[in-house]
Amino acid sequence: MKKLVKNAISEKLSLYIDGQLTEDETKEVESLLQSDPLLQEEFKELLRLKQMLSSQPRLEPSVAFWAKLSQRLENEHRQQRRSFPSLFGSFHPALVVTAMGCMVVLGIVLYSVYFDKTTTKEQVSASRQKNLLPLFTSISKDEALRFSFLGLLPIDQKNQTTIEVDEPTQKCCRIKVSKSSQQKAVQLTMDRFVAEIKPTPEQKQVIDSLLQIAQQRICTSLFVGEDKALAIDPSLPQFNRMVVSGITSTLHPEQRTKMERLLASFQTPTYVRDEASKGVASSDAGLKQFPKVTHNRTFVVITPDTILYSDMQVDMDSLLDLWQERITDMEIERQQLIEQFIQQDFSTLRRRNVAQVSSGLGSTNEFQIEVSPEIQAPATATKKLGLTILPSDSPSQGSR
Amino acid sequence: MNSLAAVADNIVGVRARTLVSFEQPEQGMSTTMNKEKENEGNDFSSLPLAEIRKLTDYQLIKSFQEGNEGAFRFLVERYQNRIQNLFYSIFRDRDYAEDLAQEVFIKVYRALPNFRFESSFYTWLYRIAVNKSRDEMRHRKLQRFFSFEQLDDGAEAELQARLATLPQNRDDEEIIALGLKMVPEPFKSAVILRDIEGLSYEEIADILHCELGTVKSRIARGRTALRNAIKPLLEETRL
Repeated sequence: MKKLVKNAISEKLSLYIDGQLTEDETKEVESLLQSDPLLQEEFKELLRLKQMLSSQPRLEPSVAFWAKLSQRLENEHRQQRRSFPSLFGSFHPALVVTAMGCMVVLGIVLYSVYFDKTTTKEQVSASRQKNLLPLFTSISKDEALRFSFLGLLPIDQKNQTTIEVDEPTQKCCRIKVSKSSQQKAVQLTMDRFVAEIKPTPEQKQVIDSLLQIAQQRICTSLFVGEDKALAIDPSLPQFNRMVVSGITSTLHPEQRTKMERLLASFQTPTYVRDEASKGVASSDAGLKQFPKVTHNRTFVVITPDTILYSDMQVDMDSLLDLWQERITDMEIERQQLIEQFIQQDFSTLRRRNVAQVSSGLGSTNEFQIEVSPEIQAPATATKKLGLTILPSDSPSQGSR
Repeated sequence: MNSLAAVADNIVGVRARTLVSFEQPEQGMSTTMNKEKENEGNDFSSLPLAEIRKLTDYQLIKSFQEGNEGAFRFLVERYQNRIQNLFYSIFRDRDYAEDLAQEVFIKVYRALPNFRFESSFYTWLYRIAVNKSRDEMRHRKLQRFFSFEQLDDGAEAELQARLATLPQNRDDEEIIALGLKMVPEPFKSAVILRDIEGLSYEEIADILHCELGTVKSRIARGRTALRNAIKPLLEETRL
């Protein structure tokens, strides 16, 4: 009985907190509160609880939610179309049931026969859920060298749109996309590098293996997506710094001077200038400090609507398998995505984002964003992205 | 604006399967069913993206029911975060919450052609989500049973085990997460919908398909259970 009364009072108190009582009931509860210290304590605790609940952290909107969902819906559509062809409607129901029975049996047999294969396919589709395709599936050694030293990569085959990464201040990544060709950069090739620096066979071997890692890394760090989306791993400049540092550490002082001279003729990014002038004592230090390429990384995703970052799982192995299987389709699809990205009006991107920072607008053929240190830290998934969007003609904050 | 209109052209009218628009949907829920605009037609394909986002749930659903599948995307955009957060409050697992939210929207997509506007869209959506979470909890319990793990005396033993392993300086989020584990259904859903999701008593009654009086008592009992559960945790944190 006592418990029943207590429950009734607790319920009243709960409703009182939410303002759900009538005037008379409110007065009743208030007078009870004044006379009963235990009830007062309960009231305070309930208030605290309500405040704790309402201030629970909320998840940020999931970046690829729609992309994943639409992919699932589409798969479902496809499966339904396969399982229930429309001509079924014109048959007798008993026939349909028998046919479906046969299909179930057949399905079980096929499932058991092709079980392994199906699993692989599912993994592949998981890696493609974001509707993103890698910008590069293979890359030449020359391109890897140019990217490591100059931070430059051509997006299209004609080398008319380029992507450029730099690290103007420590742990700050600058990503610039511009519709201007970098003809001069093409002159930096492996042959020229070897001719000028004259590395020994051992040194050449180290440099080759470093560039090989760079080749792999580039392929898993840049993606192009539907509706003009571009995803970039913002840790690329850091990675480049490691490659440059690794190469520098294998060279003798006089070779290093030659390398600095060679690079001075190109407009090298900040990290190259820093690293090339640094004398690194141990020759294998460069290789040792390479972190393993993890599958789950944070990417900066740029679309005409917004710029933000997203944790993405890249199952490159499965994707490459699929690539081999459907090479023509995939190449065409990728080319289309690249075309769409390139042909968009960058000024729209710039205008919307830049408005908050500066009204000064320069060329409409490029845009540039900077990612602050916050993102570079091993951020939790819900952490906010520290993005600074700058007009590409504004004075840079770095030493460039 | 032209380019936005062009994007909208591409999206509304065809099955949208895009990465575009990661913008947070408007926080306020469009609960009003704009009957006035009912007869104005529901072909929004010529509207810019920003304008489409201002449409009411009713307009979007009507458009979807008239064959404009692209409208579904805007409903998803509007509510995905809320539904995902509802699951996150219950299961405390970001990926799992996203996965469950996706399943809810797949269900909604299938059922939307027959939606009769007998309740508002979002209470219907929440109802599907709450049912989904209950199914999942049931499934998890069964899984635990069938995997022959040592059965404990329910959440209390689990909580005690966690108390022993977790560091003492817990924050409010952790305390609430641990406490909610101890609150049984259907009280847990009622408290989450009221105090985390901020829904009204009437809305909760609609979602949970029960009388207002039942909602009142479930919320009160849920709060009392949660209060009792977190009390030792709060005291310990204070020490």
